[in-house]
Amino acid sequence: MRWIRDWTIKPMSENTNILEVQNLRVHFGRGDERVKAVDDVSFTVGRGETVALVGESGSGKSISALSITKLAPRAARYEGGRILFNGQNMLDLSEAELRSVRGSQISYIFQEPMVSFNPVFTIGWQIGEAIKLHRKGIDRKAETKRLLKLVHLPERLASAYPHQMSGGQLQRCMIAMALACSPELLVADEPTTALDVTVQREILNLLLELSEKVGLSILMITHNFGIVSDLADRVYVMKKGRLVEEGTTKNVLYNPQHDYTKQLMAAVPRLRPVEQNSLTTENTENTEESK
Amino acid sequence: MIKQGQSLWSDAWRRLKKDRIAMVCLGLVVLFTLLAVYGEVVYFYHHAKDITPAYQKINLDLAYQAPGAAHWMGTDGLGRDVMQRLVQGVRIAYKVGIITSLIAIPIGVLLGCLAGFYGGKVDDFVVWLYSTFASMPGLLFILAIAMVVPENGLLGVYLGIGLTTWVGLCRLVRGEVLKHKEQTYVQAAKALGLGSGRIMFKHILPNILHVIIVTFTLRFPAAVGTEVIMSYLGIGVQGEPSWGLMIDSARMRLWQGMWWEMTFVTLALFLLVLAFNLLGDALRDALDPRLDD
Repeated sequence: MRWIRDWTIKPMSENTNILEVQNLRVHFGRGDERVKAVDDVSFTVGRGETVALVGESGSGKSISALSITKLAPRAARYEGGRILFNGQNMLDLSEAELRSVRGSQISYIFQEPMVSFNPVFTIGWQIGEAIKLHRKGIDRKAETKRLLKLVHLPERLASAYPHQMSGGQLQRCMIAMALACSPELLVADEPTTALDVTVQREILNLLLELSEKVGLSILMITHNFGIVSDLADRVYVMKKGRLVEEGTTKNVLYNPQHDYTKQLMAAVPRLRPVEQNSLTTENTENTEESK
Repeated sequence: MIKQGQSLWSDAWRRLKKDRIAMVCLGLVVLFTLLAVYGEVVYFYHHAKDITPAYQKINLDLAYQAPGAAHWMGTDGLGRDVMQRLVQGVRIAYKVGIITSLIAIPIGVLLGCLAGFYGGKVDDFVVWLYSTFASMPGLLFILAIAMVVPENGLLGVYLGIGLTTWVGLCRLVRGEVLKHKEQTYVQAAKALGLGSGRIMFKHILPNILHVIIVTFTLRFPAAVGTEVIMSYLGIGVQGEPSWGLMIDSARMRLWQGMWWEMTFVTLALFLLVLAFNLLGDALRDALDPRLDD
């Protein structure tokens, strides 16, 4: 069965936003060398909603996502704005308070499942570590089995080492680990980029299934509009640290306003030529860079 | 079919058991350890009762006896049994090798981890510290520390060797931690909400254990060697049969055909070093799950 979100009939209104990022600025370096990686960016994620942050490499989308729990590289400075998670400004929290949020309320999935696991420990141990950290006094073995089942992996894989598994299996384990403490928000940073196409589909289906099954809010970071159309309720498009376009997936897909959005859409590879429609624009090669 | 993994150490043991040479070496290490413990008991027994132990009894009538039924490894120039002195030598070698490692390895690992993980000012300080230590001539520095220690004897040897030989390990650990902290699995651990200490010692350290193990197996015999030199210079062991003193005294008589003392002590040293090195190598492989087939 295919789990492809039918965004045309998804109810639009969600009263409470689980995450509100307001005018966030994250800079690197000082003086002339200053790089405004994230420059005055605002976005929201509603409860149970899947939101995509789209842009090319270096557009600041990953830094925005990591900044939510202040995980950006140490050189980053948070110059302004607010990150409200359940009404609490994450930029005001101490390191210890942030640690108790990470993993338990906001979880991450990263781009490269092959290197996201510690090579010397079994998968079960690593999932157990996540459980141990935030949920004390729980039968870790049973819980690990339940999580593996949730992501459709056989229980025996709990005692396998990362190098014995495929990228797709590892990304499922990554998801299981991220869900170990039933977080409210899942930040998926290019979760399928390192995987081949058929596996990408499986992982996306799994994410969709889980978001509906456990009512997870997902912030999806991607450069691939193919993923956006399958998964997201709303889309934000970033370029050079700034938001250039936002809207519901339907509106953005069928009626992109910004040239950059059109370019990104045209960049999705296709197996065979399709008729020109609103998804592929005719003049993608000679569109100007936005000023 | 995927092999069932248990935990880091039990899996390492399972892999180690398949390596015959490693098991022979482990047997040798166990044997040496038992000898060292036996030597310690003998030493304390005689020390407590204040009697001269057999390995110290001088009997010039028995000097330079070749290996035979009464003395399996012969006797030395003062008529003392070489085998008993050899066993006492194991005790001294073990104490020097292990106690200096217990001083040097924690210092090196801790400072290396902190410097590599935190960077910045911490790193600057640690690099300055080990550069300062490394810039001083090793043996002179060891001798200086040993001189300062009030109680002349083994304590000076322990501190002298222990406080100067952490530099190499510290440098290695710092480099490895620098490499590992940029890896995605560390980022993933942070994203799970793990604290710095836990990431450093529970996630990164097991990945660089091989560096520590190999360092230990190399520095153990090196420490024994240094003790030999120190004893020879008169600052180390006094009045007790360390291998260094035995080799030193035996070398004088070697040309007269008294080969046994030199041969057996060298053989014991050789076996100890070999066993530790091969076992360390095998352990390093056993601790890496990626080498499992």
